[in-house]
Amino acid sequence: MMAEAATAEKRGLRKRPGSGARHIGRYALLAPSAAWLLLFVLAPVSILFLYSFWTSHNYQIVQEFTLANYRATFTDPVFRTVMWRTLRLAFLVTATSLLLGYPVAYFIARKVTRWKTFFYLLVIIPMWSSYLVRVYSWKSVLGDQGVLNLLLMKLGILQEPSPIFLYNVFAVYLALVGSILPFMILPIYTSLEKIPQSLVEASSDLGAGFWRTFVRVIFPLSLPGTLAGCTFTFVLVLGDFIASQLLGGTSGILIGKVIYGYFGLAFDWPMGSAMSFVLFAIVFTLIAIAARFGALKEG
Amino acid sequence: MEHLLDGYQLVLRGLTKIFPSGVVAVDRLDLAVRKGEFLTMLGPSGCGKTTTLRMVAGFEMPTAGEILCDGALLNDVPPNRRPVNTVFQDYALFPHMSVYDNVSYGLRAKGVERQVIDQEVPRALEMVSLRGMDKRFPRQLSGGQQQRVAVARALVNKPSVLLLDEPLGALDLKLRKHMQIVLKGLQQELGITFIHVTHDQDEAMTMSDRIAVMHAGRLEQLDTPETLYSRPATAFVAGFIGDNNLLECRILEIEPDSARVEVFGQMAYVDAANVQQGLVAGPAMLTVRPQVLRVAPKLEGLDNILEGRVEQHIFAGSEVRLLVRCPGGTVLANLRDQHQFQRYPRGDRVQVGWRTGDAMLLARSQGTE
Repeated sequence: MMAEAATAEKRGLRKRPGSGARHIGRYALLAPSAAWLLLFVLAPVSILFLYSFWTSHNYQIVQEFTLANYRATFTDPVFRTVMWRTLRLAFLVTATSLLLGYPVAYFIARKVTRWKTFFYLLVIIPMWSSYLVRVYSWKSVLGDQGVLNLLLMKLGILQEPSPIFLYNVFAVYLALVGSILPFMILPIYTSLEKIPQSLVEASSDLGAGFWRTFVRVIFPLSLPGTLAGCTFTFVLVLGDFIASQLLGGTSGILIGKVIYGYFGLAFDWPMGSAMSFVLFAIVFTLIAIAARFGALKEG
Repeated sequence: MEHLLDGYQLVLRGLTKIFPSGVVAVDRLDLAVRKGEFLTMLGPSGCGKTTTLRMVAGFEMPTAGEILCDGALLNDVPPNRRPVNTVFQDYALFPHMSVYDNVSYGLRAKGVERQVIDQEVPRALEMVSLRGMDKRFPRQLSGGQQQRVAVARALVNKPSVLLLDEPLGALDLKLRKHMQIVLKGLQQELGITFIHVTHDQDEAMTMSDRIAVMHAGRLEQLDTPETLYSRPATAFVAGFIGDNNLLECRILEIEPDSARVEVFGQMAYVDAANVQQGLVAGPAMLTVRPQVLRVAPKLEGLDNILEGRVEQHIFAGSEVRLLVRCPGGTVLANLRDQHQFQRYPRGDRVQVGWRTGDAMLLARSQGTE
C-alpha cells in the first residue's frame, strides 16, 4: 500500500509541468565538473582497468582477457613484502603525525587567541612549496654533506660523514611525516575549533578537571577531524613514490615505487595496472571504514 | 562583620571585572544572596550581569573583590571545585552523550558510586518531567526538553547555588511562560538558592524573590519586585521596570511636606515622601506612571497639569496608549476608559494631569533617556 502510494506520488511529481526542465537546468550546472571528471579521471582509470586484464609480451601489449596479472600480484612475494612494508609505514607515519599534529592543532584551536592566523599560516606555508622540493631537501639534511652529519662531526660524535642516514626506510619515514603533517593538523584543527567553549565550561562546571574534560568531551568531539586526518595521512603514504624513489634506497621501496617501476621501466602496463587496482581496493576499503566512523561527515 | 553574613548563601564584596581591553564590565559590586532565595540579576545587555555570573561560576577571574559562598572564599577555587552549577544560555548539552550520560556527568566526575547514580539520575529526570528520555540524544529533543535536561544535569549535583544564564532566552513565549513556572516551582520545592540572569523584566518580576537591577557594571537597586516597581531608587530603575514617564525637571524648593518643581514650563508638586534622599534644588527627574495620568480638555481639581496636543494613539486591547506632545517633551498616558480617548483625535489640545502623591522625584543619572 505504502509503496504504491509512494510510486503514485513520484509519478505525480514527474508529470508536474516544468519540474523536468528545472532538473535539467540543475544538472547542467554540474556538467563542466562532470565532464572534467569523466575525461581526466574516469576515462583513464577505465582504460587502465582494461589494461589490467591484458598482458605485455616483449614490450607489446597483448589485448587478450586474462586474470594472470591479479594472480601474479597476489602470489608475488615481492608485492606482498612491499605492500606489507608500505602498510606498516603508513601506520607508523599516521601514528607519528597524530601524536605530533594533535597537540599542535589543539594549541592553535583552543589555546591561542590573538595569533591564531599566524600559527595557522605556519602550518600551511610548507604546502606552498612543491612536494618534490620538500622531499629533496631531506637529502641536504641527511646526506654526506648534510646538516646532520656536519652537526655530529662538530660535536665530535662522528669522525667522518656517515652514509647511514640516507637511502633507507627511516629517511622516507622522516620525509613523509614532515610533508604530510599539515594534512593531519588541519582537519583536527577544524574540528577542535568548532567545539563550543560552553561545552568545555559545562564539563568544568560539573566537576571535571582538564583530563576528564579532554577524554570525555574534547577528544570525542574532535574524532571526525582526527579520523579524516588519519585517513588523509594513511592514503597519502600508500600512494607515495617520490619519497621512496629519492630517499628510500632498497629498504625504503614502497608499493608506489614498485608500480612506477612496472609502468616506467619494465613497460609492463598490465601488471602495473593490476597492482594499482589492488592498491585502489585497499585504499577504498580503508576510506569506507573511516567514513562509517564519520571521518568525512560534515559538522 | 562575619555575623552579618549569617543567612546569606553567597556574598559578593567589591567585585570588579576589568577586561584586558579596558572595558569595566563589573564595577565594585556588593551583593548578598540569601539562602534559598530566587534572585534575579536584571539589566540591559552589557550591564555586567552575565560577567558577574561567570565570575561566580569561576569562568572569569575577578580583577578585584571577593566571592564568598557559605562563608568560604571562592576566588581561587577552580570551577570544577565550586559548590555551584550552571544552566547555560545555549544549554551546552554534550551532543555525543545520551540524556542519561549528560545528567550523570557531574556525579561521575565526583566519583559517586554507580548505584547512587542509577538512583539519582532518574529522580532528576522525573523532577523535570523527562522520565524515560534517558536514552535519547540532545539532537532528538525539542528546545524545551533540552532546557530541562540542562536543569536536571545541574540540579542532580545538589549545588549550594544554581546559576541560570538567560536560560529561557531561546524558547518561544508560550514555552517561556511555562518554564518560568516550572523553574520557580523547582526552586521552591528544593529550597536551593537560584541566581538567575535575564534582560527580560517580565521574567524577572514573575519569578524572583528579589531583583538586582544592574546598569553599566553597577548595582542600581536590590529589592523585591513590588518595591522596585513602586519605589524605584534611581531614575534608571524607574525607567527600566515597567512603563514610565521620565520628565526632566528643575527643583525650585524642597519643603517639609512637598517639593515644588518646574516641569515643561509648568509648576508641579511632589510629596516629600516621594523625593529621593539627598536631592537639592536644581535639575532632577520627575517620574509618573502612564496609568495614573488623567487626560481631558480641561482638568479640574489637580495640582499638576501639563498642556499638550494628542500626537498618537495606540490601541492595545485592555487599554489605549495616548502619546501627548507637550512643550519640552512627550508624555505617555495609558487610559482604561476608551470613550475618553475617542473624544480626542490627533492634534487636539488636551491637559495631562496627576495627583501630587503619584509622582516621584529622582536624581538624573546616565543612560536614563
